[in-house]
This record gives sequence, structure tokens and C-alpha cells, in this order.
Amino acid sequence: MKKLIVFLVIAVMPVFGFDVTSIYNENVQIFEDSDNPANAINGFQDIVNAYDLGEIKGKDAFHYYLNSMEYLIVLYSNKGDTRTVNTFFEKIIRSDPGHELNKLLISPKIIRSFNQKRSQLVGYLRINCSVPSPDVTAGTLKLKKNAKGLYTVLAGDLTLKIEKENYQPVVRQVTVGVGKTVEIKAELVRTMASVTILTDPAGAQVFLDGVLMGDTKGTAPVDYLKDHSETIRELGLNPSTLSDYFVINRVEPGDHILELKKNCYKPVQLKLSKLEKRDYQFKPVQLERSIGYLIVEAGGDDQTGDLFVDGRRIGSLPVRDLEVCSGEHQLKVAFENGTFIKKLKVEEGERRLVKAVPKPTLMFAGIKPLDNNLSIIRNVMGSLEKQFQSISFYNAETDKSYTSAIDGLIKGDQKVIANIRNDYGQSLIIFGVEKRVKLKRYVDIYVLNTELYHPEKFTLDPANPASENVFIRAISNMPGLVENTSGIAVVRDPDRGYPVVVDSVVSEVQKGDIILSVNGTKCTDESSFYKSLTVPVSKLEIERDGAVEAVSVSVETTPVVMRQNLNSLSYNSAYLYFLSGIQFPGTDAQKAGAQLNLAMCDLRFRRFEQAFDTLSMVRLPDRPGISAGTVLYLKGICYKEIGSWIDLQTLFKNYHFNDGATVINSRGPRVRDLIDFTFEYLRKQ
Amino acid sequence: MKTLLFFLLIGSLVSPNDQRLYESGLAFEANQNYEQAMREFNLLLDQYPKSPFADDALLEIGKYYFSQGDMDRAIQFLNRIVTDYGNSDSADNAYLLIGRIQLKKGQTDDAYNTFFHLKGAFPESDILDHDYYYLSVISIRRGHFKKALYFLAQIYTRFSESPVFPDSLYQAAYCYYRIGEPQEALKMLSAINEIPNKKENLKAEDYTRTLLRFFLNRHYSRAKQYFQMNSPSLLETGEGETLFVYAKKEHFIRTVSQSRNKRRNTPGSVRAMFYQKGVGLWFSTGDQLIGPSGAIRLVADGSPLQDIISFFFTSSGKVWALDKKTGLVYAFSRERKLIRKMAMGDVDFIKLRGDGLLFVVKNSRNTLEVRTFDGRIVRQFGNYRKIVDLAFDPLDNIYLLTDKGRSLTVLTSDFRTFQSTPLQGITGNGSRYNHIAVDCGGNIFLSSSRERQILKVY
Repeated sequence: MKKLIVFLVIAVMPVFGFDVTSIYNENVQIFEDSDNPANAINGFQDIVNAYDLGEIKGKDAFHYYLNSMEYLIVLYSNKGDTRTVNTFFEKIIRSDPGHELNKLLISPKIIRSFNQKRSQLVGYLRINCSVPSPDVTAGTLKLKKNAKGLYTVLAGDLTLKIEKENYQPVVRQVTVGVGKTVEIKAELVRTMASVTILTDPAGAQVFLDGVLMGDTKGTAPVDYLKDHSETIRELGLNPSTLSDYFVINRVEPGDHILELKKNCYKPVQLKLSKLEKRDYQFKPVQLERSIGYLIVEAGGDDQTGDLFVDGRRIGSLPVRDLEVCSGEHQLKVAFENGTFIKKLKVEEGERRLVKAVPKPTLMFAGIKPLDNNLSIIRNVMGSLEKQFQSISFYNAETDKSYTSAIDGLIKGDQKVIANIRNDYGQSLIIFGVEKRVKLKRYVDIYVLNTELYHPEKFTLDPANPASENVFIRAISNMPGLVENTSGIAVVRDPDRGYPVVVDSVVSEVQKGDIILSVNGTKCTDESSFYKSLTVPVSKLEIERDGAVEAVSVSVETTPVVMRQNLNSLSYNSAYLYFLSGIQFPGTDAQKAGAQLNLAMCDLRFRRFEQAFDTLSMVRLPDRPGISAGTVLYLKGICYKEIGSWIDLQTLFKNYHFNDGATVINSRGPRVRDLIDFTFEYLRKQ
Repeated sequence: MKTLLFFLLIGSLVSPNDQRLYESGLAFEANQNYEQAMREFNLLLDQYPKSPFADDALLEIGKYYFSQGDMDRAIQFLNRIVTDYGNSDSADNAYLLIGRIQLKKGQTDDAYNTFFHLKGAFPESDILDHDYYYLSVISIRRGHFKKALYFLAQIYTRFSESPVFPDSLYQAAYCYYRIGEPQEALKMLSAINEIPNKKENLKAEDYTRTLLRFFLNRHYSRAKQYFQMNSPSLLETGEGETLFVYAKKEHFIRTVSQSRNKRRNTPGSVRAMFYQKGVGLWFSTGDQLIGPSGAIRLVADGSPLQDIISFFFTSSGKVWALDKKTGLVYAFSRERKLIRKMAMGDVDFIKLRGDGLLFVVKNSRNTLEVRTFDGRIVRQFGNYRKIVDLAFDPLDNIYLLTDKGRSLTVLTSDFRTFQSTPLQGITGNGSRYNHIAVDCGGNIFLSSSRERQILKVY
């Protein structure tokens, strides 16, 4: 049992990692509050060991290391273990020769012994440098000046580096004897300029020659406010919103352009001409507010919706001349039957008209290039963007800020997908990756949506426009949800040029009848026959045994399962289409059709449990029906794939729908047959 | 070639060596320099057996030997993927190819097990559609049409974007017809009509025509001249609308189709013709069989067959031949080794139907026997006199030319009589015909070397 626990502890340890802060605080508390402070030894020792093994990382690690050793010095000296105390003295001195022990914690006697020990190990440097307070490092150790202005170092040979920002560093080899002071003279040569700036208000992005250097932040230093009160008054600045110094180091001498940008403010451009190798401090820059206007209207006349800008409710549509900061905004309009989400950029003074239509978004994240040769990518992107605009089902958007996240999207990074969902709502995400196969360039286009993670890949051959058409057709092809059926299956008779009845559950029409017309319209093939059927009754002109007859058949609207002919269908795109069909249905039949098709998409992506749930939600009329059989058969597929053979058999054995029920569409094969085949297959296995 | 080398050089500078070898192998393949490609892949296997590209290289080699017909070598490489690279992402493709090889070699049970294993072991594989397809093909060969329909239903209800999707519908139509549900078969063909592909639509139209004939009892009643030529004799249909005719006196075979009309001279008189799907037309000149890839001689017990008057190739590549000299039927393996010889009586000619049943006409053309490959007699007909020729359509219906070529008898695939009629009633004259062929639209072609035309009956 003990072994098991030890094993578990060892196995679990690396998972949790080494939380130095909490261990340190816990042991300080033991040291200060408990009856037996010696209990803290183990904890502090752990921290020291972990640091020595390189297991603690982060900028505070060294601080915890030194402090733990100080506590250990106190604890071991209380125990009278002077040998261990001495080893800790040496450890501290070797890690930081200039370290001063905490006088509040450690007794003067121990501090004396520490300093004595140190005097046996260290020497001193006096550095005379042309530049005030340079950074001095010996090897990897950063040196600190003591009260006498000397740098304490371990005695021996050292490689000394004396440097300062914007100056050429100086490297010296020195030998320091124990207790000796070595004098060093260093001349640092200035190589770069530095630029210091303040903005009112803070939070402006600073670009130097187009490169983002950072944001101004904080509040102005008190010294500055005191020393430059006149300038502040003169420029009309608000001291409470003025930022802290923003320093740009390592600026090449010469001409530069400094830009300051902040949302809702006009960008400011400063020309820094002929900079020399010195420090420049410019006057604070006051940013002026910048505003644009939004006009948001509903796409349809009779539609009403609530407008939200950046998550804040503005009011009902239409909204005219809404004052907004220039820059990027997220618009959301909640309609009764859906939402419209768009991310847009408003320029200063612009009056931007937006027509809001409740649709999902097609978000094109761009194409990741193979190398610097971007000519092919530019062409493909331009052409795709144009074609995306023509797909009426989507609000097409291109957001190149996601191009850098393409690698994450390929790996299925849920954070990126969640971000896109936040920015654009339910979206079809499309992005490309350029590749080279057998010496030729292609673009792999990935399609996925924000609602399920199952990417599909299409390969575009930039030299062959047909491949792009296939892709566009795949994402814009939306299968039908319902169809009009009359219980008659026909096929085009190649010899006669008319549809001929091959199956019928209607007594008025028999197999072999030739359909001459439907509702007075001549039919030539099966598709024109099915399209001509009208609800609730259609008149057929049929030819039977050479005689022409007119009959009436009743027609109803029934859900249709995804058609077989959609060879290059994008299931991700179809999934969004069906999902919107479920959320905002027209009729019960349309909703059932959307659900059936949604289940087909789930089946396609092997999400059998979800498919089963979706199928279970399908509400059908209380009568034997075409779709009822389909639902049953598809549920059977789910059970089979999940491996619930008993459930599958129970489901099929309880089949009590009419024998005419068909799968796929009203002319498809009979459910009864497919169930029989399944049973026969199971028997034979 | 220079550009290729340049790219290869560039590739060698930026990629690790195993990847470079794999990619250059692919590049050689793309340029159809297969020998060099194989050399690159083999080098990769020798030098980097643990590379992540090693299994892909094995698959490429396997595919190459498969395409070259060297099944034994292909299977050696493919087996290595399965045994040496347990987690290979090429394993499903390897299993599929192994199954196909076993199928080609006629090891149907092994192939079925391989495909069945693939289905269970790789449920997420993107070649599952092909796997179901081959499972259905085997089930059809075994005559398990309902089981085949189960596999096919998996394809057409779940993989509508699959390249085997149209074929799965054709197969399903065939199965439905064979289990006596022609209306369901017609629905399957109607689904093909919804695919926007002209070639497929035309093929589906042909099948529809044939199916409607048997579904609605539309008997053959009309005839017209199809093609004019001197002394047409042996007939054979190929894929599409191609018809092969042998001109008896002038010794040539004419290929008649809408797009081409080609003549090929033969080295002597042709005794029999057989169209092998996916390969082309074979014909016998008595002592040898000549096909698209060359001529073969069949040697049994040390002596070559002298007068092959009937022959065919099975789906697993075996050859069956009837030698008039000895009166025996011989079966040869893929490697042309004699497997068995059979005495079936006084045999006049033999023909093979698509589902693997052997039709033997014997006893001075007065008896028709239907046998399986293992020699078991399935059916025997004694009621047809003087059967001069017989043919099948893609739905396995049987067309007999009886009464020395004066009558036409059409049997459905399950041997029910569909139509039996003197040809005079259709052609309007008393001519006798010696040869018959049927295309996938159910059109019958008749020829007689005494005539100067080929007749089409529909």
C-alpha cells in the first residue's frame, strides 16, 4: 500500500509542478507562527534543492532561493549546526557576492560571521565610467554597487561586461585578489539614439517607421509635472490623463517617422529628422478625438431587430447617424428569426451604411503562403473573395487577422474558433494553405464551421479555374428540405421520352403508366415530373395500354433527406444551413427536413450519438409516413455504428410503419428491404 | 528535366533526407520514371527504415507493383506496412490493396476477410466507401445479393460524395433486379440520373431501357439494319456502345461504335472472341489467343491446344478454353498453368455469364447446361433445338439463337422465359443468323456470314 502511495505521489508530482510561491509562504508561516519553527526546514530546503536542479523558473525564483537560504541559516543556527550554516553562507556568496543579509531576521552575530566568510572569498571593483550608472555583469551575474560605490565580486579571473542602452558595450578580463580592490576605467561609445515621448491620454499605440513599439501607459511622473508645468499649461494638457514616459531605445541616427494611434482618436504622425546619437525627449502629444457614423437598416422592409454595438444595446432598427469612435466595431442585430453579426472598421468622418440581414457568416481567414512568392495566393484570394460575395446564404467577410491563426485552426484550436464565434456568430470558416506537390503549387482550402469541429479539405489548382468552381459549388449548394410527393415513383422512359411509373401506392395510377402531363405541363423526365406536382391535388394525364386518361392524385409536402446527387457537397456548409432551418423553421415539415439532414451531416462526421439525438427530436405527423421509415432506418445505422446490436434489433423488430416507406427520398428504396438486408447480414455474420 | 533536377536540388537543401527521398520519388513518379522512383523509395527504406515516410514509401512501391500486375511483389511490400508499422496511417490503404490483390488472385474468402477486417479496424478511414464496395462485389460473386445490398446501402446512404457512389447505385440496381425487385432497381438508376454527368446518364439510360423491357414486358418486335459489311460473322459487345464484328472472308475484326470505326486484320481465321472488362478484346485463331497485350499459347500436358473454339477469362484472371480437337474443357491459372481439364460430353461451345455461371451447349447444340466453376450442374435445358449462339446482357438475362438461327429465345436471369419467337416475325424475312450479341441497352445484334449487314433487334 505504501509503495502504491509513493508511486502515486511520484506520478502526480510532475502534473502539479513546483509552486514555489505557495511553498515559500506556507513555510514562512510555519516559521513565524508554529510552535516548532524547525518544521519549516524541509520546505525551505526543497525550494533550495529545486532551484539548484533548475526546476523553478521565473523572475522571482532567485529571490525565493536567497530568502529560503536566509531562513535556513536562522533555523540551522538555532539548532547549533554551524557547518550547515557555513555551507549556506558560501552558497549565497557564490550566487550573489554583494548580497546583504536581512538585518530584521538574522542576528548581528550571524551577519558578522557571514561578512567574515565573505571577506575570505571576495574582492572589489571600482568602475570609472564616462556614462552614469552603467550595467555591470560578471559572467552571467549582474553586479550591484554597495554603499561605498564598489562592486563586490568573487575573487579570481572574471570576464566583465560594462554596458548601457544605446552604447557600445565594453568587455574586460580582470583578476581580483581576495579583499583587493581593482580599479577599472571604461569609455562607452554611444551608437544609438533614444526617443522619449508622453501622450495625452495614455493607451496610444506607438509606431516607429511602421513598427509597433508598444502602448503608452500609466500616469505622468510627479517630477515631470513639476518641471514642465508651463509646457502642460501651454499645450492645454490634462495632467491626470497624461501618460508615463514611453522610451524607445536603440534608434538608428537619421530620419524617422513616429506615429501614435488610438481608437476613437485621430492618428498623429511626427517626423523625427536627423536624429543624432543622444537622448531625445519630445513634448507631450495631445490626441484629438475622431468619430464616424453608423447607419444600420434592416435588409427587409418588414423586419425589426435590436442593434448592439460592441456588446452594448443601442436600440431598434433603423438606427441613423449613430456616433461611434473611428476604428473597429462589432455590430450585432438580433432579429426575431436570427442574428446578423459583422465586424467593421469606421474611418473618421465616414457615414457607413449597413444593411442587416439575419444570416450566418462566411469568414474567410486568408491563405497561409508557402514562401515569399505571393502572386498565386493574391490571385486565388481575390477570386475567392469575389465569389464568396455572390453566395446569398452567407454574409461574407474577410478577416486577415486570423491568417496567423491558421495553424491553430488546422489543429482544432477551440480558442480561435470561440473567438471567431464571438466576432462573427455562427460562421463557416474558410482558410487556405499553399503547398507544393510534385513541383507544382496548389492551395488546400479547409472548410469548417463554428458549431462542430470537422474540417473538410478541397484542393484548388490555381492553373485550373474549374477546381475553384467545384469548391464554390460545394459550399453554396444547399439541398432542399421538403418536396412534394404523391406516392408515385417514376423513371424516364428512354424510348418514349416521358416518365413511366415504376412504383405506386395510389390506386388510380399503376406501374407502367406513362405520364404525359402534370397539371397541363408536359413532363419529359422524372425531375420535371416531381417539380410539377402541386399541393394538395395534381391532375395527371396518363397513357395506359394505348388509352389516355386523366386522374387526380393528392400531393403532400414531406421532408426530404439529403439528395444523393450532391457529389461535392460541403457538409460543414450544409450543417449551418440545416441548423438555421431548425432554429427558424417555416413549417413543421421544413423543420423535420432540416433535422433529418442535420442528422445526415452528423452521420457523415461519425457523430452517431448526436445523430441519434437529432433523429429522436424529429416530430412527424401521427400517421404512417415516408420520413418515419427513414428516421427509423437512420436510427438503426446509429445503433449499428455505436455497437448496440440489441437495441438495433428491438428497433427494427418493432417496425410498424407502412410498407411503402422509403429512405433517401420518396422514390428511394424501401425501408422494409433495407431492414431485411440488415437482419440477413447480421444472421450471416 | 533540367527544371526537375533544379527543384530536386532546392528540395535537398531545405528538407531532411528521408523526406527528400520520398518527395523526389514522388516527383519521378509524376514524370513516369517509375524505375528511378522505386529506387528512391527503396533507398529511403534501406537508409531510414524508421522514418515517418517509410510506410508511405512502402505503399507507393506496393501500388506500383500492383499497377504492373506483379501481385506477389506488391503484397510483400504491403504486408510490411501492416506487420512492421503498427500505427501507420497507410495501413488502411495497405489493407484495401491487399484485399484487391487477393480478389484478383481469386482468393475470395481471404479478400472478404481482409475487407471485413478493414471495416472494423479503421471505422474512421476515408476509404471505407471503397471497402464496402469491394465487400459488395464479393457478396455479388457469391450470389448473396441481399448482403451485397446491405453493403451498398452503407455507401449510398452515407458516402454520397464517394467516387464509387455511381457504381454503388449500378450494383444496387443489379442486385435488386436479381432478387426480383426491378422497380427498386429502376429507382436506383433514377438516382444516377440526378448526378450531373452526361456519360453516367447515358449509361444509366441504357440500363433503364433494359430494365423497363423486362419490368413492363416489352417484347422484342422490331429490327433494322445496324451496320453494313461483307460476311459479318462472330459478334461481341464491349464497353459503352462498342460492337466487335469478325469479317469471315476477309479476316479482319471491325470495331463499330459511334465515335470510331476501326479495322484490324487478323493472322488467320478467328474461331472465337471474348471481351474482357477493363482489358479489351481477345480472339482465338485456333492455336493461340490474341489480346491487347499480346498473344498466348495454352499448353496442356506438354502439347499446345490446337483448336480453341470457345474461351473466356474469369474475374480472377483464369482462362477457360474448349479445344475442338480433344473435345475437352481446360482451365488455366493466371500464370497459364493447367489447373484442370474436364470432359463435359459432346460440347459445342461454352460461354461465361457475368455472375460466374458457365453455359455449356452440347449434344449437337440441342442441350444447354448451366454449371458452376466447380462443375456442379445448376440447370439443364433440353427444350431448345440447335442453339447456334447465346449472349448475355449486363443484368444477366440470357439471349439464345435457336432452330439453327431461325428463332430468338430470351430468358430472364433466373431462367424464366421472357420471349420465344421465330425471327421471321421480327425481321420480315426467313434468313438464318449464326451469331448474337447484346449491349447494355438490351439491343440485340445478329449476323450471318451470308448476309451483307448486321441487324439490330429492339
